[in-house]
Amino acid sequence: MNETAVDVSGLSHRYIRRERTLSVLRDVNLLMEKGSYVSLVGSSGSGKSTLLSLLGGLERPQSGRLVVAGANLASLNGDELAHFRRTVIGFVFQHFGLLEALTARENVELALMLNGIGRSARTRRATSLLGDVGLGDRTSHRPHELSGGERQRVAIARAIANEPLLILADEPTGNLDGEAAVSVAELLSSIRRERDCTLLVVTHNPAIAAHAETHLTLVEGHLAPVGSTDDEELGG
Amino acid sequence: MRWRDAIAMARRELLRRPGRAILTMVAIALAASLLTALVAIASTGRDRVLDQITHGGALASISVAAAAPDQSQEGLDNPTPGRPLSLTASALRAMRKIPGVTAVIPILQAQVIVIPSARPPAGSRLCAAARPLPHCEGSKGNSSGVPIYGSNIVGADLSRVGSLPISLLAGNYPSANSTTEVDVTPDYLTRVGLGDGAAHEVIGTDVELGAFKVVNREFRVALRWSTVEIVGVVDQQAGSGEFLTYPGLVASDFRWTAAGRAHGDSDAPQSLYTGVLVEADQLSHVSAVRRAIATIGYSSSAPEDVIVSVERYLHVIEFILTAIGVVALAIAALGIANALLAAVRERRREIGVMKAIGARDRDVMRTFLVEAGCLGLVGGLVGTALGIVIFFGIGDFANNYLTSQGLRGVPIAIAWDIPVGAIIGATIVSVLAGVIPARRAARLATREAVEA
Repeated sequence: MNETAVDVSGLSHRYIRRERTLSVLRDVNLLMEKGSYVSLVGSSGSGKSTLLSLLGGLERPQSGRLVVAGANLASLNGDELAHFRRTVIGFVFQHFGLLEALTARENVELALMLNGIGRSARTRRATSLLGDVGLGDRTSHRPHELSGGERQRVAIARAIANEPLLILADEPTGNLDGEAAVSVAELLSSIRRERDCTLLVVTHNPAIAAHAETHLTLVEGHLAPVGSTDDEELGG
Repeated sequence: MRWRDAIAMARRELLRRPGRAILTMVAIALAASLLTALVAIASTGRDRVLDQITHGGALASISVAAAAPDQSQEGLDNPTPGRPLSLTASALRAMRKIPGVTAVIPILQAQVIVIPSARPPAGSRLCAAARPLPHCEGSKGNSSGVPIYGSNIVGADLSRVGSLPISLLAGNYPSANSTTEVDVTPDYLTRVGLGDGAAHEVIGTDVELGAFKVVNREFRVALRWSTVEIVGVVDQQAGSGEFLTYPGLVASDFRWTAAGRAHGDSDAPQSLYTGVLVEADQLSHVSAVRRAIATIGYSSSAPEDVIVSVERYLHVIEFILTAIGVVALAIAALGIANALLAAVRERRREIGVMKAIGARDRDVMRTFLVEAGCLGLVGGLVGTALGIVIFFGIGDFANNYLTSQGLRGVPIAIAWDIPVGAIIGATIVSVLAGVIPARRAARLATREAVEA
């Protein structure tokens, strides 16, 4: 029997901006099994990033049930949410999110450092991870010395450093050219297969969506399936 | 995040904007140097003023006279003593037992006939014209050309010179318990026709000291001579005399002269000790100790009221100078706060990313506080070193001026707690300046920061 990685039901979320209430998510239901690969599309402002930030514990859910890796995120305090993000979630951002003052290896080490891993162990692991994503010879380079595709590979290495259950990628190829985008898409897919982690990717890139087993779309805050490669229904 | 990791992160971030970090540190360094120099100068000035009042002795020292107290003078800093009263060994023991007393140092004094510089050193301006000493048994020749005269030799335990009102101006103190070495006062230099700046011309010369004794009812006097070497020049208020040494020689001369009482010399001294220096453990205990000394039966004096008044004024000056340094430090700290606020704005997205990958609010706060602390620590270290250099530079300048005016120089030393305090102070002030930026960084909404 497959384990459940994400269990969302009746999730709604709204923002109040300039005394106007903006409903971003409306009664979202989502079930993701461990090891699944889901792509999420939607027009700008449809709530994709909000859903990702809620799943990743960057924001607290306002209503509905949101359980990730068995943790009810609504009940976690600030430190528990930080621990959840360290150990359960791996983020990949469109803008890469690398710290400019640190080298590629140190950026990967940062995630391990926050998780309390000792210096020598995290250096070994970061070096190994960078080798896994094809950057074994670029460990000492700073972000501005790397190409866009290489930076995103460093970000992916950082995202998987603590062996998260769920990787959340927000437009990971949005800032990359075609060749680099395909390469990153294949890397994410292979990581998901090899490490048996769950992957939710917000993307408009067909190359990356093609690797997903399930395709969801958000329309004005409502989540709906647009198709499943194995006809398995994952969203409602 | 561990402290070690936070320090490594802070170092990286500071090196990322080296210009801004250096300018911020320079501001802190200048403030720390100003603070260090001002506090050190204030402290040295205070020590100098108090040293002048106590003549180099301890602040809580009490001078006990060989006399009974005059009840009408009770409570005065410098009372007129009552009738003469010998200072006995039992009286000294009683003084040592007074609560709060840390030292009881007897002062001895003997009258001597002086023949200056029997052996002037090469190049000395002391001449070598011989002149006989008339009308005395055991008369000596005078080789210096300076008239023979009478003075006193003062004896005290110079191993405890820090508690005595004695300051070394040149040369050394006599060797421990020596009976052949003496120090002289500037009065001796004047006596032999030399100025205050010519101390080196008498150091190494010999002087003949003759203790006299009345040997019969016709007041015929016998002299016993000691040749002693001058090894230093001192400013001393321990007793009245131009010569200072350990008690051995003085006690011997005293006994020689006191023996004259048997032959009708009623002026011969009766008390071996002409005074006692009593040191209290703190200034506030001086009054109580003086009352106890009066109860034992002796008159005492101490500049306690003057010291308390002067200390009060000196503390005000110290406070003002320290406040100037602290204000400078506070202004520099505003620079740190401003630099860190700019860093928070610049690194908004990075802060968001750090939180997204698991940093707690306190991890983010710690990183910024460590950055502030590093700026303060390095700035404090550099500034304190600079402040010490400034202090010694000013000290040298002041000493050159004082010496050129024929005055004693100021000991240029800096207490260890001043630089340590300046470094710690600069670091603490900097960390405090970093609190607001650090809190702002820690409280950034994660998602908004990531998307910034």
